[in-house]
Amino acid sequence: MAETVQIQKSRTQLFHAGRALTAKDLNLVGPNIITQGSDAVYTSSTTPTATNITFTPDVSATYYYELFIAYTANGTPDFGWRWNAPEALFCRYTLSMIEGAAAATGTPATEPGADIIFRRPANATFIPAGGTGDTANGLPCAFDRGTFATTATSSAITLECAQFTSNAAATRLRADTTLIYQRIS
Amino acid sequence: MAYELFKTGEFISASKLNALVPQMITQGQDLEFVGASNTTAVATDIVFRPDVSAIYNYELFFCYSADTDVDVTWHWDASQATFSRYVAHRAPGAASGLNVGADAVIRRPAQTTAVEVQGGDIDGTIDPVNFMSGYDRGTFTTTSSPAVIVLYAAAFGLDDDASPNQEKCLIRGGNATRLLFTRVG
Repeated sequence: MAETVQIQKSRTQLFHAGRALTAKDLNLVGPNIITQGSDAVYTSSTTPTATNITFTPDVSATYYYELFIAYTANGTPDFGWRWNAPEALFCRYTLSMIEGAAAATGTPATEPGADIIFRRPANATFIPAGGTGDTANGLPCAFDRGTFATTATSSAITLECAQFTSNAAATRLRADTTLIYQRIS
Repeated sequence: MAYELFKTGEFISASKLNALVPQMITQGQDLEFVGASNTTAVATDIVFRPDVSAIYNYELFFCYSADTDVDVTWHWDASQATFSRYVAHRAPGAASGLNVGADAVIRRPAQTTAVEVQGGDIDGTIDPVNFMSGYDRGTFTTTSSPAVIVLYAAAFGLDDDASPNQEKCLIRGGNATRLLFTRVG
């Protein structure tokens, strides 16, 4: 039964015996946080553009990350996001509402809910998140979590967003959109 | 009760510092299920031996490809651990397509409960290609007896309607299915 299975030997390790311990090493232990800071507005375009969620990770490293996306959009333009990370390979898990999700109604907002997209997309795959109305009520969210591994070449990682369908009505990436990331090896 | 990993007078070791950081175990290669009679749960590469008398926080990122008439399942074999397990996944009966979405199941199952997740490829596809995701996170508490913890997976509903080739289902390995866990108590 369980005892006959092979235990994997290659677990991740950040610290190695025999190496000097530095302040930089110890600072790696805690998670880092980046917030968008201000609303970004997208109109009449599906071309992803850079957000304030941008950083340069260590080379040859593996990180755990969790992105909390807050956005607003009407049901037609919706919202979309992807990563621009030429020197990192993401293992990316996303959760978002389908395009054209029903609008929230009332004050406070009553959320009707929507079918959910469960995906494991590539770095640059543009993922939709359904709009529920471009209002302060019913602020929807989407999730993008997993790990990423960097190459030996230093390079920035940037979250890029746009409308999923071009429309004159605004789509907004909200200011408190936040990325948390932590080096694990 | 607060967990004290470090104690006054003890040496700081690499292993103790690594205990501060999430550990990661990955599914090495795709785990393939083929054929109508193949419904036996098999051990994945997600196998590890946790510390005894400890509490861990964990997060499983589960990735699979299957037709919509196939249900993939996963559960934990953990004879000396009690899981407080929280899952989210596509409900059985969902439609095919990457961004079509699905009803979501969000529940708190027992560790041996095989949660049933829906494929995202058109029925009759010989080799499913859509990478879908499922989530399993929470905590587990180990007893004073050492024992391994193993993630098991199975596939139900496979048939030969793509005859002469039998239908396939894949638990995705490589840069896909992975477990992260951190000791917290």
